[in-house]
Amino acid sequence: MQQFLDEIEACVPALRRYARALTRNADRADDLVQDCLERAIRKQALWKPTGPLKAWLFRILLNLYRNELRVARRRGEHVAVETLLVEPSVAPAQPGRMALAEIARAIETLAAEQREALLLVVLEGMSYSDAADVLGIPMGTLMSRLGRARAALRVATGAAEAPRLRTVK
Amino acid sequence: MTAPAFEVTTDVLHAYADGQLAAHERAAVEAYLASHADAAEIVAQWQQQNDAITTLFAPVLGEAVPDRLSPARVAANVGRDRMRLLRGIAASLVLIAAAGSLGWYMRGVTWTEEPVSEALIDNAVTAHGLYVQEKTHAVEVAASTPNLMRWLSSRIETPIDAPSLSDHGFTFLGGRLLPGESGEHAHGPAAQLMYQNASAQRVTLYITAALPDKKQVWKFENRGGVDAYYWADADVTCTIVSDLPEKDIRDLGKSVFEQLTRKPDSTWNPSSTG
Repeated sequence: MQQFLDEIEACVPALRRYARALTRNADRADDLVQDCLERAIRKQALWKPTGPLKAWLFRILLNLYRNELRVARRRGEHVAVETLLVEPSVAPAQPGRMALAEIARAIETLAAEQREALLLVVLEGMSYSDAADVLGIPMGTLMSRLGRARAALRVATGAAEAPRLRTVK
Repeated sequence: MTAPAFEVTTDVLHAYADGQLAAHERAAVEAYLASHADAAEIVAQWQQQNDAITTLFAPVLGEAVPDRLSPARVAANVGRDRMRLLRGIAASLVLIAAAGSLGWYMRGVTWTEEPVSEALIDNAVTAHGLYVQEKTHAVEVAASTPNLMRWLSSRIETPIDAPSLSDHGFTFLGGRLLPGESGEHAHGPAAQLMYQNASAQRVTLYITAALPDKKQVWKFENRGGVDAYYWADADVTCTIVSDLPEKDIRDLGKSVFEQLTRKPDSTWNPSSTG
């Protein structure tokens, strides 16, 4: 049990970061992580030591997040777009770098499924197969979500006037 | 030796931007990008996006983790909840024992962690108890009705035939459709099939579509005076309920299993009883 808890603890910062990026709200993100930990500890017996614990925890977190979205949508609640954690106090970046405020706004314009996929790969550095597994989708679907997310970000950050990727299969 | 052909596709470019390629693949992509300026620019933008996203949320990793997210603390809370639940159950046991009807009331007490199989067995036993005592309306649709099994199959969304138990002296009386459950122990609607032998003893089968996990599970449980033999696999879940001796139920179970599960490689597993 203690070892199990230690291993979970090691994943908490990454879970918080992912939840924060998904929800853009520190309190909601931590609520999600707390629910995730509770569920994981309750279901401890169901976790098979064969799969990676981290992937299992992310899967639980994502399910909770999706449920929350669904419930909010059903109730017709408006989930407020809270103030971003990192407000654009950062200077509009040097050439070759993207302004953080700009990317933050752009992420908000993504469809939920694209955001989930992109953040898993980019923030957590998950391999495509792990990410597809966590999201419960086939690899091809993951790749197309990733592609659409990146294309949408290019549009939202005004980079899309640049050449389109048409020479490549 | 020539290197294996390596095709630069869009997926490969994503993998390059995400640092998921092996060294030789990376070199191949870099060679490709050197001669394809359009692709190179887009990949560069993707990498800028990655950098920006990583930078944007990096501070979270440096924050102190709030106490409430300490796994040890969460585990303590979970343990306390469990104790409270146990104590609640214990308290109701005392009351119920005083009322002298323990078995009846315990049906409703569900442990939050219990698997769907427990709910299925509960429902099968309840339905059995409710309908086997009926003389004239034991079944909703009689065995002789044409298309009975086609109707039940379509309603539970799984093709089933009524197993023949005549070798065991049981005649098929007919069946009925029972509602599924939603929520934590969700399962689809169930077909209850009833059989009777010459001494008017009855057996019911409670069959639903396979559970989402399609895992093989076997259980033999005694519930309030009747035995329930449950299994789940990739095709169906089936609970056999009867007050016959255990050996007879296990024999019936083998026969039912072989007839319901058509896959040639499925194996009867009578030793494991969950």
